[in-house]
Amino acid sequence: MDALQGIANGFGVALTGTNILACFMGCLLGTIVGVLPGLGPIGAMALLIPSTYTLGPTAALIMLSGIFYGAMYGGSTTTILLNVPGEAASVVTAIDGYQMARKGRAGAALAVSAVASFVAGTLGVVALMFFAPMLAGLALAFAAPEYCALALLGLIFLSQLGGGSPLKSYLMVGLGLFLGTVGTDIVSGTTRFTLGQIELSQGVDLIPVAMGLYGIGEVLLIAEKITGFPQLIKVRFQELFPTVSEWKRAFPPMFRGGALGFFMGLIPGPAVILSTFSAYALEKKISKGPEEFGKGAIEGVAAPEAANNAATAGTMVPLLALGIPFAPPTAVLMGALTIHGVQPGPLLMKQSPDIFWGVIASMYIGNVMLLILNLPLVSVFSSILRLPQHLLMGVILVLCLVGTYSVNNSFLDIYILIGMGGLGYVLRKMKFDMAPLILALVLGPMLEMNFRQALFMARGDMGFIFGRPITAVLLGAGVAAIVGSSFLRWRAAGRNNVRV
Amino acid sequence: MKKAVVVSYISFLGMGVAYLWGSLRLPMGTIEAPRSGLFPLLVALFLIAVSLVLLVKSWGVNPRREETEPFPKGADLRRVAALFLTLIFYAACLKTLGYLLCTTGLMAVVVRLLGMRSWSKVALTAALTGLLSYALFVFALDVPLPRGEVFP
Repeated sequence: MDALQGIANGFGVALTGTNILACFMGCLLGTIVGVLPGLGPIGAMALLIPSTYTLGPTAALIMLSGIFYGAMYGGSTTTILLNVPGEAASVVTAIDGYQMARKGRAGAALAVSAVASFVAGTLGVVALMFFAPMLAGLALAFAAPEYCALALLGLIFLSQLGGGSPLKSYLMVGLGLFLGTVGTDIVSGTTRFTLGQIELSQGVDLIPVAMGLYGIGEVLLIAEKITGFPQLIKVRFQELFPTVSEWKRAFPPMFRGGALGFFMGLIPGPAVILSTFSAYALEKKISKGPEEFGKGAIEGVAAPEAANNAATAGTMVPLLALGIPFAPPTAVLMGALTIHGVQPGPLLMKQSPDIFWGVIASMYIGNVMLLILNLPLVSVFSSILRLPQHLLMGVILVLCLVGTYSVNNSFLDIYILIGMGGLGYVLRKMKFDMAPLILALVLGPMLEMNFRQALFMARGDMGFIFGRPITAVLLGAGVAAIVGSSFLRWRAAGRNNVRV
Repeated sequence: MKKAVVVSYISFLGMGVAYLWGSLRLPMGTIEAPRSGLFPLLVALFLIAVSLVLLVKSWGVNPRREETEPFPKGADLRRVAALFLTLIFYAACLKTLGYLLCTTGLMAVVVRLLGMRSWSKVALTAALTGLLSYALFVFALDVPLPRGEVFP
């Protein structure tokens, strides 16, 4: 099945009543999550996995991916109107977006942000449509050593490029891998680290861990300070039209940001966030008026917003084609697929074309829905911020508790959720990045299985593993990432010391 | 170096050592035929090594340069602690008292702790949240929730 025939069938799947509704719900919830500071797309997706049980795997994945890319649209609203990024990928937009709002161009900034998200999001899906089958074809040649190296590469890239201390991130990787080994060993049937709890023999579920770290942890953090209602900049519908010169300035950065974002999304690591910084830096570098950046340059809104949307499409490529999530939100998507009994990977396109092409087609539809939701209805979404904080936090807690309990009807999961909530709070305070923990928990069992299979295959000959070209290239890239980023950090630290 | 930083790294180190001890009790196999203990052993050694490096690196570092956020004090700390303890209490009572009673109680504590002043509003909000969420999950979404042993 070629890409065009596949996508045509995909539209047939995505345009059924249930799937359109799932797509709309995902986009709507994603926009709300993006608008609300605190609960990001990872927490929201984990929160909603249990509600997808009654849906089929296709509708479930359509809805959950809608939350992922929908959050990128919604994130810009509070960033521009309040200077409060709704989620991490909107931080860069705040620099020029809020300055535009202060100059009375909030409507134009919101419109450019929504159109940039739409243009790049759609281009990203077009690229996904061609790249994913290509990569899936290549991945058919992968065996255990390649998968093992790929999983290691994902964990190394995320830890090295996450922005915080790589060592702290490696500690989180260790913790995630440890949690991934709890339960019954799938090869021998031996139970490991269950502390005598029968319920733990099935392993530590992703949902209580992700909801605890991101949901409960965030509520505890917000409980530290009681805040009043934020002062919003009001935007009327007729103000949502940028001038011709603003459009002219915004369009090229949309395409550049989109292309950069998509390719960064293919690379393991925190691609969505990094892509916004890179797109902003690129625009500033090539701009004829770099001094305008930081004072309300429209290019500084268009490029990062385009980049983060295209990057979400990019991050879907390794998940759909290789069955390996390189980013925490796609790790949650993989968790959801596994719960629904679907194994993503190179065979997904052949074995479950409805899921593969249906999800891709739904992303086109979702981008159109999001453009409509985020432009005329922008003031409706921003008014969500006027909800009393105590009510919002209470509802998030209830959703976390019910969501966790409903997975296995397990009281132990509730304790894990609360324990992870406490841990998440402390980890935030200690400036640990929790994303590597989530990714390691999802990749851990796969990494272990492929590691053991690779050793079986090698029969003690390590040259067999390291001599395989793809494995060698992947492991080499991991080593290069460690050496390269350590060198850059060391040089930056040296510069700072000189300045001091 | 900050006390909280040292405590966190030592906790991770302790966890790594306990994990190592647990993994050594599992069948290890050989390099040609690894069994269930080998991967946990490697992860435990990795955890211990990273914790030790972080601990050594943080030695002698000026506490002001530590990348951490200060923990809350006074009323703010009490609020966070009360919320966390309420959640633990919720988990402990859920099986016996059931979802409806526990969630109503939890909501009352949460909205009061996070700023709602009027007791009548607290009671109304908590009762409504408990009832509406129960109706939504049990009747509309068919999610089985614990009914409790007190009122079966």
